[in-house]
Amino acid sequence: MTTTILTVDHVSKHFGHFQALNDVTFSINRGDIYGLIGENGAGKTTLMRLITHLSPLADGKITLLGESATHYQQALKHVGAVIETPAAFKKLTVRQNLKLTAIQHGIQDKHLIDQTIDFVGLSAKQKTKASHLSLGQRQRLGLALALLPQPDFLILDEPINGLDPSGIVAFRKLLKQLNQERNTTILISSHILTELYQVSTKFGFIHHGKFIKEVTKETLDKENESGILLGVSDVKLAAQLLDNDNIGSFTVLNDHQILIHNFSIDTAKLNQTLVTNGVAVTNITRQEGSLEQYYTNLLQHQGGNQQ
Amino acid sequence: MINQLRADFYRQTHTFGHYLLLILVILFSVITVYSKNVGGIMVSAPADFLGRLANMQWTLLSGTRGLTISSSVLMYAFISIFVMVIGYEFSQQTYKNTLVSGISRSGFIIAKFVTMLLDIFIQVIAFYLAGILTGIALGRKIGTSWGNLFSTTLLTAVIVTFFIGVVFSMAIVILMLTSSLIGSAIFIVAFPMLISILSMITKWNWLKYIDFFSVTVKISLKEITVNQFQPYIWTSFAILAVCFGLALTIIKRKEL
Repeated sequence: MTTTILTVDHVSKHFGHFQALNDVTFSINRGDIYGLIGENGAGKTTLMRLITHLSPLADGKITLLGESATHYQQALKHVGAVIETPAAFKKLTVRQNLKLTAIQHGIQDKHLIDQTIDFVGLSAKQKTKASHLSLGQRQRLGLALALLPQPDFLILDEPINGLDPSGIVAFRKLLKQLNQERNTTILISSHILTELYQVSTKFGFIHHGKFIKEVTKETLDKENESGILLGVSDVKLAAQLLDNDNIGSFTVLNDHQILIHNFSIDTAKLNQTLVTNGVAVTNITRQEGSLEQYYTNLLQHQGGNQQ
Repeated sequence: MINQLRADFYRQTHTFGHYLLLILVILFSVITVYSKNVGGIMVSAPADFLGRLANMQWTLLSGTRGLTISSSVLMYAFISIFVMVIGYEFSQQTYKNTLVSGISRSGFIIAKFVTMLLDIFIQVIAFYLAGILTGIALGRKIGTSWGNLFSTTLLTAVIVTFFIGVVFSMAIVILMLTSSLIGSAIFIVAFPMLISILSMITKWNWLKYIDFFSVTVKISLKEITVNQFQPYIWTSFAILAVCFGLALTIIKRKEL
C-alpha cells in the first residue's frame, strides 16, 4: 500500500507573465489531514487544479497514488474533490445528484447513497433541488458528491467558506470522522485558520506561489507556544544571557528565535541586556500561540528575507 | 465512458426540458402535416417541389417528405439538447466533478456527443412518427408500401440526426474555445443561414457539401443517388474528425 498519497515535485505554473506557482515541492502521506495555508492568489487553488488535472501541468511532476503519467486518470478515480465552488446540477434533487454520481462511478450499492446523504447530514433535504439549498447545504452536497465513491484522497478548496458557526463545527466533525473512520487522506485549504488548525495534522504554507514551509501540528504547537518571541542574531549567546538573568523557562526555536514562556518580563531591560552584550535584537513580540500568529510571523520573516 | 453515457441519460430522464422539447417537436410535426405548410433553411431548396407539395393530395409518404423539408427548423429547437447535454456541464461547472471522476478528456467529449446524437435521433423519430400518425388520423393514403414508408423514414431520420450532429460538433469546438454557451448557440442558429447567404452571394458550388439540409431533402426526394451522396457523407465525416480532434486538443490544454 502506498504510504505517500501525493508527491508534488518542482511544480511551476505560469499564466502569461504571472507566475502562479514557483518550484513547489511537497508530499502528503496516507492518513494526513493536510492544511494548505496562503493568502488569496497565493496559488492554493492553482495547485489543487493541477493535482486534479483541471489545469494542464507544464513544469514539474505530480505523482498521485503512485501514478504520474499514463495511469493518472485511473488514480483520479480514487480522488474526491471540491475545487472552488461545489458544483451540482441545480435542477436535480440532492438524491438525484448523488445517483448521477453513483452511475458515473459505476457504484452498484444503493445503500451507499443513503449512507453518504446521512453522513453529510442532508437526509432531511434529499428530495430538495440543489438550487433550493442554502450555501452550507450546497457545501455539504459538494462534499457528499466527492465522498460517494469512497475516495482514498479528498481535496477540499475553501470548504468552510460561507458556513455558519454551527455548520463549521459540523463540517469539522465530519472531516475528523472521515479521517479517523475511513482513513481518508485530506488536503484542505481555508482562510479560517482557527478551523484549519483544529482539523489538520500537517500544514503547508504557500506565499506568492512559493511553498515556504511545512510543519506537523506537533512542531507547530512546539514552535508556537504563547510567550515572548525574541528574534536575535546570536541565539547561543542570548540563551546564556537569559540563563544568567534568571529569566525563567524559555525554548530555543531555531537559529534566530527564542520563546520566553514568562509574559511578565521587562522587555526593555531584556533588550538592553542583550544589546549591551553584543546580541543584536531583531524583534521582541508577544506570541499568542495561534495558527494565525504563526502564519503572520512566518510572513513577516518571509518579508524580511525578501528585503 | 459507458458510465458517463448512462449518467447523462439518467440526468435527461429527470430534466423537464427534454419532455417539453418532445411535446413541441410532436406539435410541430402534427401542425406541419395537418396544414401542409413546409419550409426550412437550405441553399438549394427544390422550390418547384414545395409549390407542388402544398397543392397536391398528401399521402403519408409526401407527409414524411414535407417533414424532411421542415427538418432544418428542428435544429433550432435542438439547441436545447446542446444546452442540456453539454452546456449545463460548463454553465454549472459540473464538468469538474465529471473530469475529476477519472474519465478521459476524449471519453468525456465522445460521451457528450453520442448522448446528443441519441437524443436527437429519438426526437427526430418522434417527429416523423407523429407525422405519420397524424396522416393516418386524417385518413390519408400511404402513397407507397408500408415497408418503403418506414425504410424511407428511418433513413431520413438517421441522415437528419447525422447532419445535425455535424453542426453540433462544430458548436462543441466553439464552446471549448470560447467557454460561451451563447456563442455556441448563435453558431448553431447562424450556420445554415450563413451557408445560404454565402451560397447566394458567391455561388460557390462546394458549399452544397456543407448545406446539410438540402442534401437531406434531396435524398428524401430521391433526387441524388447513393454514389452522388458519397462526397457529402465523406465531407461530413471529415468535419466530424477535425472537430473531434480540435475539441480534444482544446480541452486538454484548457484551464478548466
